[in-house]
Amino acid sequence: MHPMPLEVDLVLPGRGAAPSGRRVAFTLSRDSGILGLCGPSGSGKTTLLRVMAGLCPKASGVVRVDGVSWLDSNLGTDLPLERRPVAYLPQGVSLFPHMDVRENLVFASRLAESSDFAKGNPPAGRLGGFRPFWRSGGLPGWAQEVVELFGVSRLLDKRSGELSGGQATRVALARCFLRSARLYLLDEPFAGVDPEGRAALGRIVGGLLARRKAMALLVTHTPDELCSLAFGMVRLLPEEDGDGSPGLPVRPVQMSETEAKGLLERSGG
Amino acid sequence: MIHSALSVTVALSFLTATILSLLSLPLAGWIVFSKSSWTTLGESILTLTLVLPPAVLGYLLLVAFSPESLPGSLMARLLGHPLPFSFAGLLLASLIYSLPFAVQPVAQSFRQVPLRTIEMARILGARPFTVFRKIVVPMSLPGLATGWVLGFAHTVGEFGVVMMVGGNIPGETRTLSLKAYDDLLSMRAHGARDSVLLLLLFSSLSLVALNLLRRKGVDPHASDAP
Repeated sequence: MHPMPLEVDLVLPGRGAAPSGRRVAFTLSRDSGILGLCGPSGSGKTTLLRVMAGLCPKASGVVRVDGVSWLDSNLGTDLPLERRPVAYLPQGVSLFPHMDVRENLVFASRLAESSDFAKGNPPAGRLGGFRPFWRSGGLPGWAQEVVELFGVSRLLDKRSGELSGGQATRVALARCFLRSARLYLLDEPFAGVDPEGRAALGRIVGGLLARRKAMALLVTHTPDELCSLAFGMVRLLPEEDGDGSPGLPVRPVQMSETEAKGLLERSGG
Repeated sequence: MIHSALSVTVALSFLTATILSLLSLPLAGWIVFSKSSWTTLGESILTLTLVLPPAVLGYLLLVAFSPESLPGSLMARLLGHPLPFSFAGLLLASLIYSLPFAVQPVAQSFRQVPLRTIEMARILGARPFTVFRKIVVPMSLPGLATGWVLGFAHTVGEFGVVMMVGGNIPGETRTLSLKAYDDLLSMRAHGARDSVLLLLLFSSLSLVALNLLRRKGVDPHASDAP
């Protein structure tokens, strides 16, 4: 039997010192595609993504991808960021301000070439990848494809400060997808893009994921736009909702194993 | 006469500022980014020469540099002559004396690189050294330049340490500030005035440079604001 592509069972660390002890559990039985993640502000969406990316040292629980434990606090497993085949696009624009768009993308593609998970990308090789440090060189061919896919070829010579919100979003998405990963964690990846643009970007992302046989967890505040993209949805509940007693230390988040599976069967079957 | 004092001063300050700028990269990097608890101690030692009287520092360096001491004898064997009262000794003393002035601005601009930006580079797969080389240092160029200017200006004006360690040898260790003092003592008012005017010129130029840098220093981080 094949291992489950994605298993998550976590107790999310709270903000500050107090452990909030919110449990989040879901599994994904499809090999590729987008799983939506929604919930009100403060419900822990970003924290969940950070834990899965390996950026949150206080996490406890299990994250398993294709049967490989990325995090298993019972066994003391916690793979560092660089050993997880994951790509994370944090919320908000995070282009490097001292580089122009091309340099941002070149930087990311060099790192992608040297990463342990550079499947699909032609390996740079120890000597083949050598270039004098004062010349950063241009974008490699495979990266050019990704850049054109997201429609940012025209922006290459702009400073990152000169971009509009939507343009910066596209560049950040392209830069994220230069990395070839098994799991993409996208935190509101289409912010600042108009509705038509969002739909188009969604199709591009969906197509790329299908081609790369990769999964994505996509955070959104507008679940409607996910209907055509995602095959399932995970909904996080707010930390203090009305119907539970607020003093309860452990607050299991109603998470949707069934919900996700139900959706999955509807759309996938 | 003033030419030799001027060239000694410029050579000493230029070398001190440049060597210190290079040294400040690993030092400030260690202070700001290391998780070791030794960084507090390191930082205190770095700032020690800020509060130490120059005469005390000069005396301590003379003792340490003397050919009877272990470091002094090693250096003397390396250079072929004892360190005190030589240009090399003066340079070493200046490096120690001006160290905090060159390192602090660099450390300050390292601290101002947003954690988000550093983390983003890590997410893209950059190892810590790559992050330092491609993100932290390029974003801290104004701080590096500020450190260079401060190291230069501070070395131009130093008096106590130069007096103790250098020994005021014309053409070798006599700097402008020592010459001004000498001229004044021997009632050569014109010579003193020229040296003082030159020192004033260096200070004014440094001030202008620092102001320009401060205005520029705001820039790279400003564009990161959401």
